[in-house]
Amino acid sequence: MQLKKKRAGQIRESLATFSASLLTATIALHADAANAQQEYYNPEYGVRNDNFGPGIAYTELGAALLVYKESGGRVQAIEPATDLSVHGPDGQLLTFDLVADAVSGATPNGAVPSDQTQTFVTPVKIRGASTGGGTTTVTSASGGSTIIHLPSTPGQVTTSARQYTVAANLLPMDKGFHDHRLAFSFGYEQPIGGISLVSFGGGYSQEQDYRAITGNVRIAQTFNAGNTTVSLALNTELDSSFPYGGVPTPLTAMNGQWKTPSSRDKTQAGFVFGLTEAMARRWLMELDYSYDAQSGYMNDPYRVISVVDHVTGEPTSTLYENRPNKRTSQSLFWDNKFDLDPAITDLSLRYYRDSWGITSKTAELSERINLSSSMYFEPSARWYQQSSANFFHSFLVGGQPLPTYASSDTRLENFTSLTYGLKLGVQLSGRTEVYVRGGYYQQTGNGHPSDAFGQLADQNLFAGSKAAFVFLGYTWDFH
Amino acid sequence: MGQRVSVAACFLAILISGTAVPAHAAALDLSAYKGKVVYLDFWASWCTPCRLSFPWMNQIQEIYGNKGLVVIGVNVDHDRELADEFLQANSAHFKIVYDSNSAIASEYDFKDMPTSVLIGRDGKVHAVHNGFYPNREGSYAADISALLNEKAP
Amino acid sequence: MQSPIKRSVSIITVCVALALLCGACASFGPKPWEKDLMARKEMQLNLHPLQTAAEEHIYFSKEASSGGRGFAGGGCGCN
Repeated sequence: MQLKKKRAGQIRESLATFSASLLTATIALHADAANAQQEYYNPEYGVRNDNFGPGIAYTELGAALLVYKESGGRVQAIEPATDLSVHGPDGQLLTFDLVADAVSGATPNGAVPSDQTQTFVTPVKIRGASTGGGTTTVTSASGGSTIIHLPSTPGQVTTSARQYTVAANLLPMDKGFHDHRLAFSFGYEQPIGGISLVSFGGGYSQEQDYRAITGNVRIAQTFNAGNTTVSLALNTELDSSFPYGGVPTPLTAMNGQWKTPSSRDKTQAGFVFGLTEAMARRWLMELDYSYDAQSGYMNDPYRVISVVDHVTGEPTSTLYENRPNKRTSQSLFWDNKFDLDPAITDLSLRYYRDSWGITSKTAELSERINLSSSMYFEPSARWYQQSSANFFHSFLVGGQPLPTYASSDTRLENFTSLTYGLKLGVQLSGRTEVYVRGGYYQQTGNGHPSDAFGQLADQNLFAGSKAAFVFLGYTWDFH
Repeated sequence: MGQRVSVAACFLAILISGTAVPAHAAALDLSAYKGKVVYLDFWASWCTPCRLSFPWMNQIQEIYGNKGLVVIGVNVDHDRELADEFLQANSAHFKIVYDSNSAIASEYDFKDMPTSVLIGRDGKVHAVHNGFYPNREGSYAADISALLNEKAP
Repeated sequence: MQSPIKRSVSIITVCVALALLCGACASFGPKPWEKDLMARKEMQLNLHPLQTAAEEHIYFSKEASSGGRGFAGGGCGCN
């Protein structure tokens, strides 16, 4: 998600209303529809309706809502989604997916906290601008920023800029940013001849300052009496970043000028090699190897890094960050499902490394336990640890030569994250299910690195976040 | 080179084991059906295509019964209760045999669920249908007709 | 350290070899009539894709690593 400054706060409200009404409408429409299908009940396996499965044509409609909120007035998001899966009688599958999200709140801009007040300036476009001097205070939609008048310089057209101040000893954050996104994707698969599965798909995602187009193809073969599936997927993506204020020149001073170029692109190509294996009657596992290569613009155009005085550690200037224009990554993912009465255990592990020097390990465990024939609960925990990118710096020291690449983005920093979750699901009938999952996400890192000096040693330099989220989902099967 | 030979040997072994058929299926005694065509269908309560195959098997038992076709549904559920529930929802107008210890299944050693084994009047396996696809009912019936038209030895 | 391409090729070769070897063991894993538990909805590897996608989106926004998950098989293997 890119950071964005925008005026309208109503997008979030209307999306929330839309998603809520979509969910209630869908549920109301079908919750009281009589389940005409034969349905039988077994204490061990719960409510079953086997009219949905291999060899039988059916459709599944899903609706979902994610509500996400970070602590400390930081990012919050609301994300409704819906998907449609149409299963044909001979293994055909057509899927459509639609996701919208509205993000707002404050986000760290990348500068270090200081024991003095700090001021930051960003571009802004004012309707019917450039009249007179003085300052105009803009309402809270812009998070307490002020519009300032820039002295006109030969060759520069911009006359206004947005300025915001950050109090002493606080993590510099740009408040009042908004972004909304709409993403659509589709896929189609079917067996062809002796090949178990051939599929293709694509997607399109549009934000206020970002656009992505994706395409993928996949081929899979099942053998060994249906126990083994081997697959190869190729995927590609073309991204366009058109930040508000234009694309800043990396490692130049943060300023309120409108910049050129107005956009930069990025391309990605990769493949995923997968193996699914039924190991035993109660053990299913999946092993995937992914390789990815990206090329192009990968900077966060709104993110800056502080240059501090080499004695006092006071920030003296703020520069736009810079990241390499190439990134290759590999990951190995292993997911296991064990049916061990009374719980079904899911254990997954992932190892990742990339050419930016980042390596990460992920472990996720969940236990699904039936409370009754139609209700289950599923506690889960996720542990994640990543190392920092080789161009990550919390700050730069004045007087030293500038590195080629530098970023203070927490996303590229060394940290550990823990997620705790609890999911509750109810089978409303043989064909509908509703579930809710609550989660708590927390990042921990080193706020006092050994190279912090002067006033920096008294500041917490780790800008990681804590967040709570709730995910509501509903699925409905029909013929 | 040695690798290729061993891989080839492995594939040969699979091929042989896959097509091996017992001369006498000791776990299931078919001597009562000598001279008849037996449609031996392996099914389970958890097998969704079986919900589609049962109406069709009822049909063929009725149509070809007097020509000498015997449809036998071998149930491989571990839990008899689940099989009974399935039969309540999907009635079977053909003979049902319960194989909860998988003795019959192991003897025929099939690769898919459901699997139908076509045994001719000579008591030998002539064809195997892997899975059940409604759009192939025509070809399934053709296989059965062909076997019914053969004379008993 | 091998180059990434060489490494990925050797990993894939190992995976394919394992898969083929499994096949060469004259059916490794449960027999088709032993897949009753695999047929359960709860034994699917990605039962709620909308939930997985939403969580992957959260992690992708806050962390450096992305993706990894492929496309699951499994189930009863019927038809």
